[in-house]
Amino acid sequence: MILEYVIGALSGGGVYALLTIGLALLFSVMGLMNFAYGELLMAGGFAIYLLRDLPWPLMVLGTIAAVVVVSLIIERLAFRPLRDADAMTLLIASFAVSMLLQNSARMAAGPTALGIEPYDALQRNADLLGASVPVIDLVAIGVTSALLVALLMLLTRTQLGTQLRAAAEDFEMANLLGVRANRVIAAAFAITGVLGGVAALILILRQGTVSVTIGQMPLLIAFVGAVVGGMGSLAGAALGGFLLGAVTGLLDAVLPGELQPFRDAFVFGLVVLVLATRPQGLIPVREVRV
Amino acid sequence: MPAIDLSRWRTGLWPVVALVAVLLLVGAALGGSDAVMQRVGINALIFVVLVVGLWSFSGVSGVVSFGHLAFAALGAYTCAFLTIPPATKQGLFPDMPGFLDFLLTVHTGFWPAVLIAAGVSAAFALLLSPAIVRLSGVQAGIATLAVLVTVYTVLLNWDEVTRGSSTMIGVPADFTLGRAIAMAVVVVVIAWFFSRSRVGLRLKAARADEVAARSIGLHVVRDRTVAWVLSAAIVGAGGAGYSHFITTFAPNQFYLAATFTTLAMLVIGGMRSLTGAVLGTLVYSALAEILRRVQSGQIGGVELPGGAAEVVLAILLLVILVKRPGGLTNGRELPVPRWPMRRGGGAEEHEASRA
Amino acid sequence: MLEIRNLCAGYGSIEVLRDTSLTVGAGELVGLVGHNGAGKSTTLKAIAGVVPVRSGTISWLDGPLTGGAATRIRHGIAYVPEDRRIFTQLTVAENLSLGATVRTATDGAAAIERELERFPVLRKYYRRRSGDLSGGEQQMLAIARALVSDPRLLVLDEPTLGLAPIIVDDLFRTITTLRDEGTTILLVEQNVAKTLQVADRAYVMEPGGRITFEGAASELAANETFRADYLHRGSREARA
Repeated sequence: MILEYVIGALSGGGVYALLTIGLALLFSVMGLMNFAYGELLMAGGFAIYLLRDLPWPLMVLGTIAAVVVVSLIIERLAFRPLRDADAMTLLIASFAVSMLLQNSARMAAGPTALGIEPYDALQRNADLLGASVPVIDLVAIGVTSALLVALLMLLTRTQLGTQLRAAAEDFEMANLLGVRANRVIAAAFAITGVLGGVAALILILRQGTVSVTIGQMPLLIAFVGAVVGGMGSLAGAALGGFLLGAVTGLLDAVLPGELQPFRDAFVFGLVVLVLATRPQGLIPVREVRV
Repeated sequence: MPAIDLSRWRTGLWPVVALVAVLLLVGAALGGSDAVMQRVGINALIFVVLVVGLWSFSGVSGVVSFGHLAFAALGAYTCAFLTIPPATKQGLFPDMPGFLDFLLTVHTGFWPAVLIAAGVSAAFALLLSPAIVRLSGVQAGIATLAVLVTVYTVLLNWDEVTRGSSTMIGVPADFTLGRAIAMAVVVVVIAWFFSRSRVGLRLKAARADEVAARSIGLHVVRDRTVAWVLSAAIVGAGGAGYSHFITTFAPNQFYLAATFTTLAMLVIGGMRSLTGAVLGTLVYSALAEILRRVQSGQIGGVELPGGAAEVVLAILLLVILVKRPGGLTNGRELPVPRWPMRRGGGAEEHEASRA
Repeated sequence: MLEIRNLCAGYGSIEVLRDTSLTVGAGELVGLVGHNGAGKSTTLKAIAGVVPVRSGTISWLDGPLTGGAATRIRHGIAYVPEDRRIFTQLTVAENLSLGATVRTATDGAAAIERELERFPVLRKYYRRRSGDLSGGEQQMLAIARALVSDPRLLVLDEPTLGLAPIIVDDLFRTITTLRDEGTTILLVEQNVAKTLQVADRAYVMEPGGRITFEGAASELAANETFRADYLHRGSREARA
């Protein structure tokens, strides 16, 4: 029973961690709280739908590639012209991009949800230490852990990663040292595309449907996670995402039945409280001055 | 230096007189048109109320809110409870919880209901203010967004009271063009004189430089609370009017799409002036109507799939953000027509810094 | 090598520099001194491409200097800003590797090795988070990071600000060594006395970016009015 709960929390938390890291990466590098991130999930969902008849490895790669491409197109067309704009303008712009993508999808696919045939292997339950847990949760935990390790390696072991972290701390200084702004920002968008693509695969294969508004709720929850964790640091954001997975799971467990539908109200009420008391997030970026 | 009284007229009264005249002209033009155009016009005037309400917080203080549609929702639901005939209500809400039973029997006319709706929204805003007004920038944006999601979720799921996702019905359809014009004019006048009041001018000074404003002892937080509550009241009244216009509604009408619409109107017109708020709303509404007709094939003869109008409007907002971040008005109020003027523009900023 | 002519620059509606001109010749160590707010830092920022040039020209090696901040280091101009601005979350090694962004991998590695010889303390803390370094060590890191790019001109803004006197002496020795190795240096400093000791030439700047003196550093150091105005105050500050 407890193990089942832990597995559920870990897999849910893991997906949110991917999303919040993606948000925090863009925020720390260019000050963008990306409202259009939810539409990356949507794009991933439609890619899954279109590629559903291919063998699954191709479907997975194709979906991730599609989301990365959408992410890069957004950067090039909408956010590059706004490079020097303030965070608020960027937030409003990302809101516009979100509406643009959502309605473009509506034009192409119509307003109704499309069903995606489930993969049998993922729908089964597996026996783990005596507990019966869904295979998709185990896969989700494995994939998100692997992706987080890969991201950590990229950020700490490669020159691109060093440049990204430097740009996140002091964009202008990185620029002065010859780090090319376009390259770093495009890399950040590509990384968020990969994270968003994987998150889309997990969320949408679990759900079995895709619609134009599918990204909205995950995006809002990820916003909360990023804000609660502290938007300036990737570790804080990742933790915020995990924490949120745990809190939503916990609320599911402790809220009496008739209050269950209000879970999101509690979660978002919580973010108002967190912001009111700790505007920099629960884990603020460490200021170091010697 | 031009004569003092002249400059007072120019910066203190002229813009609001001109805006009211514009609204009356729009109303007069609509009065003579067909029923479809009248509905388009009433819809636009309701959005004038909502956007001007949003402006009296975001425009005046510079803190962008994504949560104001929550106040509109609250206003709409409050007004509906007050104006749906009690007999109808008994049937609509069989499971109303005991402590809210009074909602089934209470009944008022339209205008008292609007005032009460405004009051309820204001009270809710006051309750939230300790959490909101201290924040600015992105944090304020996210916190207000969280308010919107919270209110939306509650309205959507509290079936016994709000009927949840099944629509609210039975609201009298009596929001006439005359009422819409009256409400828009009153709201524009209130917002204008608020922005010219001591609190408004102090907030504008703080908008320019919050740190400096705090250091010279301006009570930014208290002033922002006033603006926040006032703007919630205005938006609540707008929501009340809206409920009597569409008569059947669900929480979805007061969520992200409508939030996008109001913000786009404000940004396109120019967030830093009341003229921008009003003009942006009218331009956006006209454009949206034209696009709706293009999309449905009435103009151009080719039907486009749903969403085409929104795509164009989103692109327009992006273009404005990139090419003209100050909006169409670039933060200016309506200029006085050429003839009595010797010197234009900038006078408002001087007044703000002098306060 | 670097020639600034009739430069006007500023922030928003504030014009900090009006009609400023100065030159730096190859191999020279040029000191730029003056009271706070005169426009010294703004001059350096204009050279670094951080503050846009409104009018006038900055020429570099017989051509006008154009393009954004990221291009300057490719032209051989390395700028060490006020407050050092090292990446505190990154290690010393990572900071230095960022200095080598514009170099090939082998050249960069060699240059990093050279700077570690020059600043042994950086080798000692090579894998540490640079935010944990002391102020003086951070300043050395900032200079080393700039030198890793093998600049032809090193632009230093207030390198000794807030450092202990013994470290200030160290830094001035390092600056002298760099000049002796052939690096051209433009130095903005509050510590006027020490600057005039090491500099070949000096400029005195007054508010608005007005240059009121230009000439040999020794000549300026001997000037009575200048001594009364700057040096006594400068030496008091250095003692404080």
